[in-house]
Amino acid sequence: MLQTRILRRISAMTASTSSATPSTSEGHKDRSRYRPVIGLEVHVQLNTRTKLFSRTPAGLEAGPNRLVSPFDMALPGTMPALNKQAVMHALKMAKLLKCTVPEKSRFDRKHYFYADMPAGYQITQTDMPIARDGSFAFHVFDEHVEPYWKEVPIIQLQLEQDSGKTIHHGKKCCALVEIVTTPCLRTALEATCFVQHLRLILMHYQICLGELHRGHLRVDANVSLSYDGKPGTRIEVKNINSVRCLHTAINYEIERQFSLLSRGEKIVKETRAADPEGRTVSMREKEDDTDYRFIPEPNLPLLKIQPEWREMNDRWVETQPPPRFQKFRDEFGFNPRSALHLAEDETLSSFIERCAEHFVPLENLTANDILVWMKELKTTMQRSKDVYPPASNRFAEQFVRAIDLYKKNRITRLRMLDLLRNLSADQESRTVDQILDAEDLWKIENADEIVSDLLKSQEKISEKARQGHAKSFGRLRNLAVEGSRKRIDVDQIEASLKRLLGLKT
Amino acid sequence: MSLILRRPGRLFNSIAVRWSNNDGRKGAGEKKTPLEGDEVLVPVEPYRSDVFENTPEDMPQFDQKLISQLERLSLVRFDSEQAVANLRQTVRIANRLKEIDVEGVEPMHSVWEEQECPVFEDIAEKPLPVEEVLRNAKVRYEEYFVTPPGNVPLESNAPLDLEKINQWDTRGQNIAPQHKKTKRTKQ
Repeated sequence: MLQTRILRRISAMTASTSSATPSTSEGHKDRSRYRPVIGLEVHVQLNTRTKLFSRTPAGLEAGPNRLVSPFDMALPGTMPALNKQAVMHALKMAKLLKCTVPEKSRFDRKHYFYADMPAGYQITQTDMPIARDGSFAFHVFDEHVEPYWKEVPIIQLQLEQDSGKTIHHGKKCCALVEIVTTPCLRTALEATCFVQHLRLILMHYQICLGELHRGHLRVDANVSLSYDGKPGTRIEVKNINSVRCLHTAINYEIERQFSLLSRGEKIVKETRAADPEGRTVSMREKEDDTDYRFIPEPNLPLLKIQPEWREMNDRWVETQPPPRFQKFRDEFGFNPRSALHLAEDETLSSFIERCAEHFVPLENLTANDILVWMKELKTTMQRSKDVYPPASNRFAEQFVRAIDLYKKNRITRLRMLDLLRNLSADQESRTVDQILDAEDLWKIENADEIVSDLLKSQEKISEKARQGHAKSFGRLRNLAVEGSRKRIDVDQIEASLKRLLGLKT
Repeated sequence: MSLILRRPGRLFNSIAVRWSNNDGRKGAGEKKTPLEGDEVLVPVEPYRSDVFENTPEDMPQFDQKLISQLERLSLVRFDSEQAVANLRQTVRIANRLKEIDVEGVEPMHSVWEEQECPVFEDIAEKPLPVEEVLRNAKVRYEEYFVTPPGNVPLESNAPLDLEKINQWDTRGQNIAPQHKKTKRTKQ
């Protein structure tokens, strides 16, 4: 939920005073004059053992009302006791998102009625948040969009209670940092890439466990359409629970607003919820009617950020290895899209890391070669019903060695596929070189010798092929591949066959 | 509306005066006599600020929309026209705070501003046993509290008479000439 005050601060960029009602009669139907304006609020559930303001365990699975302390029940006389670890996590996030950390920050009460929130208010931060004015940069891409670099200014980070989970739910609960971005995102794709990269970074630095389906990261999107640069009416979309849902909900909302505006109708400022398919539905709550009645939290003095806390967290962040997607992209040379895709999967990324030990020092191998052969390996292993990718270090080493040999033209493509099958079947204890030496499977450059022998032994078929019978030609080619024990490239065999048969090349 | 307090200076630092209270009948506004030998740190005579004297006569106007919104936010219905009139009176008095000149004065968040927010190590303690948690629950279902349904819009039934409300706004007459009734019920 974006607080009214922040809204006011950013209203110049997004929202609401002058609605984008087009003046000309037909201009409002022109799609190119509209521009989507999207801002995000990401609620990050912090990886702490206890709640934000009580030492009740968080993160355990327990029955209803099992993880409750007197403070959580809002019993009179109980006081909030701030979790130091949550502050530390917030400071790490501030460092990662390049925020400035004011010397003091303040907690505020935000009042609203919610059945799971006995106090009748949520303790959050508004005017004096723990960190502000940051930025986050990432690659934007998908199958059809070439990766480009995007930098998103961050308005602020605020520490707050997870109001929905104060009591009742025994699951992971309570300490949150809300990240508020400026409304500078232009497409649903930019928004999803933002969340995907942010998630990996927060997981890498152990700030958040990052499981979207368990609510560790919850996103609200503020969407409006500007018309000829004039800001439109802002709609807040809540209840988005996956990256896919974020994408469809934003696009649905953009389309809905456009169809309303193009019919000459007005957008009513409201909060909408995304349904499981990503459609947005009205929550029947007009924003003018909500009044959170913010007041400074009287039970918590100003939080002074100790300089040594900041130094400690900054140093810790600096000394950590970079997140995997960053390492894959910058050190191993994967394209941004594959880097993200690989980093999102634990088994794939550890496979890449095992391979990287061996392929990074090799100059002729690129990350793309690894990707191409990983795809082949996947198909091979799926066919033999093995678990992909193989977990052993030995396999990774031999895998890279085989690719290297292939790239150096020492083995044929078909031999390479056979090798993958052999190596992944894990009965094989020999190295790639040992196999190739023992069975003499190195590539032969000159196909003519084997092919001419074959033509002599298969006179009937050769004759047919010479007259242009395609099937016979194919049969000869296959016989040659087999006869050479896959030591000759298929292309070379075909070329040689054509030459010796006197066919046109 | 935000309330901004001024730094009270030495006034709250030490309240060391014990009042002679032999008969126990000394009330607010009366002159008080300190015990012999006590240091006097507060004025002996009540101090009247002239800030509140120069109030403009603008009585806030309450319309039906505002009344419904207040009812919805508080989840409490106004009893009668008189209840709203009382609130208007209160708002008018509170509005006088706007007259105070706070230019260049940092807002005060707590009377002990040097105090730092204590932080606690992230070490779990034993939560309350579930029987304790549910002990005062009026209605429960298995191990859940049963709460009233949330965010149900209040229907505005039989709106209050706005004219009546807005006519009781003369100063000094903040009680509406009306008998106090029991709770208004739907007819």
